Amino acid sequence: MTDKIGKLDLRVKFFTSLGKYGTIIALAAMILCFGLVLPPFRSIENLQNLLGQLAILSIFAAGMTCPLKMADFDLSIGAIAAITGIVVSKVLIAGYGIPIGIGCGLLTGVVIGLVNGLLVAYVELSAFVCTLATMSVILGGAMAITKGISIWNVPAAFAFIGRGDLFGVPNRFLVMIGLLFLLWFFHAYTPTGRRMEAIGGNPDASQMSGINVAFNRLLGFVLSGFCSAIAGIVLMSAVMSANPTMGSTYLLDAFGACFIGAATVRIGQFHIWGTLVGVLIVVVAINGLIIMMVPGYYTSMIQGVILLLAVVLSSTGRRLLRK
Amino acid sequence: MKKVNHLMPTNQETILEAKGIVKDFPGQRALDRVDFDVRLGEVHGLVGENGAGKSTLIKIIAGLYQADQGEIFIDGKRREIKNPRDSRDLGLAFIYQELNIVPHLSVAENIFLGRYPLNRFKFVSRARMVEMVKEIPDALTVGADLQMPAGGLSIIQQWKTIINRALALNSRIIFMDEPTSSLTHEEVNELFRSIAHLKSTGKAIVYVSHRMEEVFRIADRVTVIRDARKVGTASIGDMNRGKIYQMMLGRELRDIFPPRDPPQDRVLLEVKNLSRGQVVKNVSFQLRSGEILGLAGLVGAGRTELARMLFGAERKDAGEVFIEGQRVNIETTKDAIHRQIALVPEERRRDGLVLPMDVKQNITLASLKKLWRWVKIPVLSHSKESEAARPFFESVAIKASGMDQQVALLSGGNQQKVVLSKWLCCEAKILIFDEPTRGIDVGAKFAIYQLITDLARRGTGIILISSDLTEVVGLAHRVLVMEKGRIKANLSEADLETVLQLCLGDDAACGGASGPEATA
Repeated sequence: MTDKIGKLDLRVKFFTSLGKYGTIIALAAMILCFGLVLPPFRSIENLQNLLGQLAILSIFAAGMTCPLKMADFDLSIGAIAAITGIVVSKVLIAGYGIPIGIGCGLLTGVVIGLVNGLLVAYVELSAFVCTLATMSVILGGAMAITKGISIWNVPAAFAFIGRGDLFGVPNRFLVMIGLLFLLWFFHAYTPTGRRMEAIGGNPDASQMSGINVAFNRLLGFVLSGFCSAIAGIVLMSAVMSANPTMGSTYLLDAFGACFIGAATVRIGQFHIWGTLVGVLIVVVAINGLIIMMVPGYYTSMIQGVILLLAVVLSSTGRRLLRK
Repeated sequence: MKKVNHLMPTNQETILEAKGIVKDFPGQRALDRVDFDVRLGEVHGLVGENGAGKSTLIKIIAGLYQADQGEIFIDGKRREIKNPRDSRDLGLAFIYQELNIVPHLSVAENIFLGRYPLNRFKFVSRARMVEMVKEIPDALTVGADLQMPAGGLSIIQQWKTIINRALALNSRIIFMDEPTSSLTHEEVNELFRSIAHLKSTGKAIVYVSHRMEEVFRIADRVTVIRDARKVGTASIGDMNRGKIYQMMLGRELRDIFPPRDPPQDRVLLEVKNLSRGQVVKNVSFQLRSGEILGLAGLVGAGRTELARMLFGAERKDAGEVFIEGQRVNIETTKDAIHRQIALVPEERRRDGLVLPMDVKQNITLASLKKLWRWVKIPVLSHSKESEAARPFFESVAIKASGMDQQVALLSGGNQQKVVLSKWLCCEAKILIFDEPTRGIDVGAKFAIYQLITDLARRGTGIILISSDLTEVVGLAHRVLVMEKGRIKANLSEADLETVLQLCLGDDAACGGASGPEATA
């Protein structure tokens, strides 16, 4: 019996020491390898390129972390980004100023998040099914608005968000850093953030401690919708066009990043900095593969493997710690 | 209390005698010179708190553990029991909580597990097996087709199957370890009839339990074990509940329950005609400042539901709640906490604690407002968090490596103290405790009793729900007895015997209201 406990101890120790930083070590190792072996990887252009790619995925993933913290999935993030991009471009083309355009875009995300949240937290639908459905509805709406044709004639002034830079640092990277800090502060230092953390740990006990669980879950979806809208705006500004499918590729990567995050430092819990580590791993891996000229279909396979690995790491870690 | 069937006299010969049994586990002595004897035709109750050493003793007699010292005599002859086969050959049978039933084998196959009759082709003969069941002397009627898979049996039928297995082996002593933990009231009665039947055929039964009521109903003699030592063996006629409780806990009743002050006159809480469906019907009562109000009754009497309704965790159909004379509307737990009502729930790991969070975060969870760094801006301050949690962490004496230890790693008693601290931190005036000592070891129990009494002394109104009658009677100023959702009695002079009788009624089964509950 003591042997068994000893073994379990060892396994827990493994996960709490090496396991805790395993993802970070893996990231460092990957950057080191690519940096040494692939000269193009360490070029300034590629670095800028990396930061740019990092930005959009991070914004998506950070938003997704909010409902995930409370064990709610949001599959509609890509669709929200797409519809936001379309709304903003339409408003800009109609001649309204950039602030109004951005405002309308953010409002779109918040409203959709609100709908998701109401359906999941108050009507008590399964988050997975519900956001899958809203995703389809939004995409359908986006198709109807655009008639399936990409919007190209966005006013050139709007490009500063997605393409501009400040002393060589891409503006969108700055947007991302700002948002991440805000979310981190929100989760770590506000009562609402603390309540969300408690709900993630035990929704029943949270309810029995006077926390309005439904409202906080609703808020999680609103945050996710808001972040997705920002991602949509940045993305639209980067490609200077909008179409209904533009956000869809980010969904899987964002999930992967979040689950890698849940296997980082605080095992089994979703948190912003962990998610950032996850995003870095995903982006660096794909970037390296592209530089190595690995054909695109393999990258998709590898993305899937990363997601699987991340889920395995975060859930086994949590299981072990629960014992 | 009625006792079932005392047909057989019990002054019979001793068939098993264990002398001076010592067993050491790393770091602790599990049994310290324990003597134990069993006579033919008796039901011998072996009682003690969880962890007292009952199971260790049984496992040594079964041959699952080896004693470090001591001897075992069967029919006066010294015997070495090295493994379960030895004990089986000596006529001892053991039935543990997890019934050893193979679900996809038939009832008959389960009875003859591993000792199947063969036909002339050396195949298992199922027909022969069914006949052999009929040949078992004094076998119990399982009440099911012997050919059906045993997995489809009810728990009580599984019990009978296993008892028949013991009978088929010609066992003379049948040890039953906490048999009633998964049985319904009706099944408990059924099991007791079976035990009476076994006794009438001259078998001895050793009945291991921490539920006093059951032991009182069926045992002829009782042996109490506490902290690895035998406290004593006595004939049940010479015992009463108070005495056994005292032997199990090792203190006089008046030392177990700290002295309490009389309640104040000020009425804190008044409930009028609170109802919900069939669960809670027309419940009205008052709670005074400094009063400990016991809520007794069987499991399912509506006590937990009443508590959850008062706390806003369940809706109510009708009824009014007044706090200090003012009518209040409590729809959610948030409303209740705002009115300074709090509930220490029965399932503390599920409803009381956020396990991945640390001690101080759990303590401050319901009073986050205290942690604001500035008055008007909702930003948490970590120093204020520690400041807010520390007084309770210390006064309640939570044993943890520090306030930043995860609550998942604390013992049951300390987890309960964290839940309590959470409510003290938000200054609850009315505290409802639902089974506060369930699954908590003896030492921590006393600490919880002390805390409850201290709170009352400082003017908190306390509602105490417990299935441990001695606990209710020992702590409460007044006891309400609930049955089927109604308040059946309001006892101001809560004397133990009256409460017992009202709770258990005439045909009382024992599953619910029983002795010290320590099931985890």
